[in-house]
Amino acid sequence: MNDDPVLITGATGFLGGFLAGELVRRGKRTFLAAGPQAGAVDRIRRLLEFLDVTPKYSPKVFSSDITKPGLGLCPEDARALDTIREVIHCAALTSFSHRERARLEAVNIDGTANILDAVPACRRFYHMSTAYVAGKASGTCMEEPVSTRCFNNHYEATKKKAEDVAMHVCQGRNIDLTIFRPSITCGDSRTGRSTRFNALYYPVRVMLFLRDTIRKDILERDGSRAYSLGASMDPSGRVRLPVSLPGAGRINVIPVNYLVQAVIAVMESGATGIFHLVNPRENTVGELASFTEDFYGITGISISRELEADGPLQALVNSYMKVYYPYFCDGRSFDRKRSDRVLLNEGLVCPSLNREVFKVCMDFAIEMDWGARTEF
Amino acid sequence: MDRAAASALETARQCRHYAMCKIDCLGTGVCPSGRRNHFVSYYPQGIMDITAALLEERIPVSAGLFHVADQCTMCGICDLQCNFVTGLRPMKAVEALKRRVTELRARGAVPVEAPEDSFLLSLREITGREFSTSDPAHLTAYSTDPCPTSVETVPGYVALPEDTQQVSSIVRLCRSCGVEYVVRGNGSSVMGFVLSPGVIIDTARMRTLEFRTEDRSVTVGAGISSMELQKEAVSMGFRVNTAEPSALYCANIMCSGVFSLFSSSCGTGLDNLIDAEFVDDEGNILQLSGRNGPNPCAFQRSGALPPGICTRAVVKLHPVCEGESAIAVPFDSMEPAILYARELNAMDIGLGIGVLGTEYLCTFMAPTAGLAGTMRRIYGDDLGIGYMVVVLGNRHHLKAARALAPCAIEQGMITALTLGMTSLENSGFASILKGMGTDSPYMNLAEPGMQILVEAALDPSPEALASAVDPDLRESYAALYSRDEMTDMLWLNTFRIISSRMGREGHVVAFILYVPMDVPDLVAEIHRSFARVADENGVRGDFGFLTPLERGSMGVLEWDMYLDHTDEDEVKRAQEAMVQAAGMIEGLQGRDPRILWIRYVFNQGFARKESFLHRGSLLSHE
Ligand SMILES: Cc1cc2nc3c(=O)[nH]c(=O)nc-3n(C[C@H](O)[C@H](O)[C@H](O)COP(=O)(O)OP(=O)(O)OC[C@H]3O[C@@H](n4cnc5c(N)ncnc54)[C@H](O)[C@@H]3O)c2cc1C
Ligand SMILES: NC(=O)c1ccc[n+]([C@@H]2O[C@H](COP(=O)([O-])OP(=O)(O)OC[C@H]3O[C@@H](n4cnc5c(N)ncnc54)[C@H](OP(=O)(O)O)[C@@H]3O)[C@@H](O)[C@H]2O)c1
Ligand code: SF4
Ligand code: SF4
Repeated sequence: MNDDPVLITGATGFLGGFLAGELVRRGKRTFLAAGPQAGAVDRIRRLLEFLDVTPKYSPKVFSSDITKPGLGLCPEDARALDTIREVIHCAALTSFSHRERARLEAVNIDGTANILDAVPACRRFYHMSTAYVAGKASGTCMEEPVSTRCFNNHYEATKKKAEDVAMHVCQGRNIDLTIFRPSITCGDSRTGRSTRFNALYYPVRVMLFLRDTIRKDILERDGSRAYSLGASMDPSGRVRLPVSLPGAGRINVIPVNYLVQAVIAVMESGATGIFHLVNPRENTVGELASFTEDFYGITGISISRELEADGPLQALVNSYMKVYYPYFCDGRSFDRKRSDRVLLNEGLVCPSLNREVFKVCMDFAIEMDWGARTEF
Repeated sequence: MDRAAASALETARQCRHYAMCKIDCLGTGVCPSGRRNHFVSYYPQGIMDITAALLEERIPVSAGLFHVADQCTMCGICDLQCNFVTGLRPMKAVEALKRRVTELRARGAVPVEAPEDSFLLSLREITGREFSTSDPAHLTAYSTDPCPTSVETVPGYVALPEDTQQVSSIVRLCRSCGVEYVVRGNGSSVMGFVLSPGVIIDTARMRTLEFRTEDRSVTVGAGISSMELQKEAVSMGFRVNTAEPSALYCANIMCSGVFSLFSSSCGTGLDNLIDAEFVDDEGNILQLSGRNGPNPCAFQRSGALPPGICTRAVVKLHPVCEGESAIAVPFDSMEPAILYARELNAMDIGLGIGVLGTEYLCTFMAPTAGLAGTMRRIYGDDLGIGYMVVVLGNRHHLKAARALAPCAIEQGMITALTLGMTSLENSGFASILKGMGTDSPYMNLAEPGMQILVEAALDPSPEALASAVDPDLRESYAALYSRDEMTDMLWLNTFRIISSRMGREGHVVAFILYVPMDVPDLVAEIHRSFARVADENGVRGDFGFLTPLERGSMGVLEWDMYLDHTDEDEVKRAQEAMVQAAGMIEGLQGRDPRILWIRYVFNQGFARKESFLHRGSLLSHE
């Protein structure tokens, strides 16, 4: 890895944070851009502590608002960026909410352009995109620019436009561009460590919430509410939740430690282009449901082809599933030729989301109270 | 000043003057001393003012002061009532007053009798000796209100007439002696209207109430509060279009014409008035229905003097039907909420409709300011509720309202969420809904059967809710909230015992406007303009409510600013904001003649609403 300092945007976020942590650990000189809120230095300090990283070189930390030209930096911070030649752009808004349309555009699309503008000497731009820029495309998604105009939500649409912006600007300014397209990312496959617990985690969190609610109603009250919800508890304390999950298709999950290693391997290889960072071994919702049942004292989760609509427990599950359906019941596959060429060469194989990895990730999430203790 | 006195003074100065301690708002009784003696000075509200004045040494030791202190039975009724609405503990002021009077007596202080001049003698001849006074303790309870623009004005006298004849005689006396007067109901208009250096004519003793159910009418004396009127009406199977429960009904008619959520079906102003009796400024007795009575069609756009003191009003009774209830329809933004409320009203659906902001909703439902804050965060930020349309109606209304709504939260869910409010945060339920990543997490609350899950998660109960209040009041709160009505949206809108909670976190300055509701963008613009004025002046403020009228073509909108009326800096900022808001409203009225600030309706509340809502079309306007 070269000695040039690297700017990492979204360094307080999940992927940006883990990448920043690893690069700092390896002694890379880093400029870490947090989001607009106050206390960037303290947030990064706590994040590095959480990641067990003792910096060799203290990173230069500043807050930024990438929706603003010049990133809203003070003149001194702005000048510091003049020397930056390498950028890993992880800042983004990942909301699927329709209400966030305007902000999604501002952060994801304008933000990408603003970052490139703010770093005049940039020579290498690593852009964190997503495997789901493919939108509603079916079949095999290639490691190529996407042409689809149909998306499952505005997040996907803005991520696709952000890729376009990055390609357009980098081509115009002769900047080497690498685009990473990870699939759903979970915690570290060995420790479960993560800072965000949405996507994959959320349905498990809902199940555990329902389990605890039902248990409490039965153990501490008369259980009448639990029973009228069709739930029950067996003598061993296992709670039966009569809910069903849609089981068509597959879900692609990669652990964050793999993502970090893969990104660094691609950076070190000097390769440009688009890289799918995806798991060759996908999971089914049924598998994940049975892991949840086995590890967390739950029974009764059934798998159906589509979303079922019956009763309040199911309604709660559906509410989430409606949003995440395209990712949990994915029929697409992701081409990996370019990434395999670099990563397999480096001996990097993506760990499967098997029972052990699932458990270590979920246990960590529970320990962190689903993120309440990882607010950096 | 010792610590107890300082704390009492702090409490006393915070009195909001909304007079909720002058009525039996909680069904727990009403101040026996006030009921017996009628002057506001004997009620907790008056005691707050008197205690503040005494501790700040602004009043002398008078006979009235001793009498007020002696008459208080220390029953404690006021502590629960006032705490329920404002979070204050008036017993601190009551105890401080008692203590100070005991000390004064121990020190041998001799109370001075207020001099009985010839004018007072004449007043006393009319009302009976004990019902007219110039005692400084009593006068002090009639000399202020928390409005930032009110100027403290100590009256010369306070008189409590018992009937129309006595009112007429007082007016004639004042006229012949050149003494000014003002009529006062419960003083809860809190806009400085009921302050005067002359005589305050307090209508508290004019307590006649006669029902003619066969004619669906009730004759209401000027001293009857909306709460008393509504209680009687409901017990007979009727409802009256009342607003604030502490407002004396005749005062409310005269002042604002009475607008409430029910106005969407039964109107405002003259709509609910069959007749009224007035004493004009020469002491003549007039009837609205009489030849010389005021013309309710002659609305004066520039504002008007009252036709006189309203001594009685004959009011419409609306029958209550079996199975009336309510639903709440949440929205994330204002425009769709307005469109929905308007659509219902255009189709004549619902007995009452109101678009409420989250600020109101949470403030009303939560028993403490702390919980209201938590609720605002959870309802607003986590669940995404920006506005809630409350629909009151019979079975058929509600069926139609549900069918037209994107989703509807039922009464049972409202009860569960209210009684389970203290667990909303810790149970994880709210964060589960928030984390869904869906656009409108609140939609889950409208799912059939979700109430059971909410109940299982929150384990709602009166005791759980009561755990949020001061420990010594918990038992009383638990008893209150074990009554179904306390979470029943229809009942709460009928009796309105929680709406004055809007002043709990600071005195409220309400801006009320009639607005064209068929232009939701304009309403949203009005909201933004108020918000800008408040923001620029560093004043806390928010949209209150909007009720459709006239089949959705018009609406009555309230926007509120809040302040600590005892903080000079906040008062100054609020004054400036009020001036700017006034200018802004005048500008809006110039742009669209259908916009009307309610200040122009004051004193003409008996007017036909068509005369002010459609004033651009009046022939006299040409
Ligand atoms: C928290 C809060 C919420 C409110 N919400 C509403 C609402 O939703 N709808 C609504 O309509 N109002 C509302 N109001 C306004 C208030 O209820 C009215 O101003 C009502 O008139 C107050 O009644 P009162 O007896 O206290 O009158 P006062 O304050 O004593 O008097 C009000 C005015 O009427 C005059 N007046 C009093 N009695 C008579 C009489 N017998 N004859 C002639 N004039 C008389 C007074 O001189 C004064 O100008 C609200 C007020 C508060 C504090
Ligand atoms: N997580 C996944 O499973 C996953 C999968 C595929 C692709 N991705 C992609 O990976 C990237 C990072 O995702 P993530 O999960 O790490 O997201 P995240 O945890 O939400 O982090 C987002 C980062 O962006 C920063 N940010 C947001 N708005 C900003 C603004 N206006 N100005 C400056 N910084 C701003 C945030 O800063 P503050 O927190 O300081 O505000 C935060 O550091 C995104 O591009 C996403 O599309 C993620
Ligand atoms: S704050 Fe209201 S309820 Fe409390 S004493 Fe004053 S007027 Fe009465
Ligand atoms: S304690 Fe005194 S002021 Fe309070 S309600 Fe009882 S008698 Fe009235």
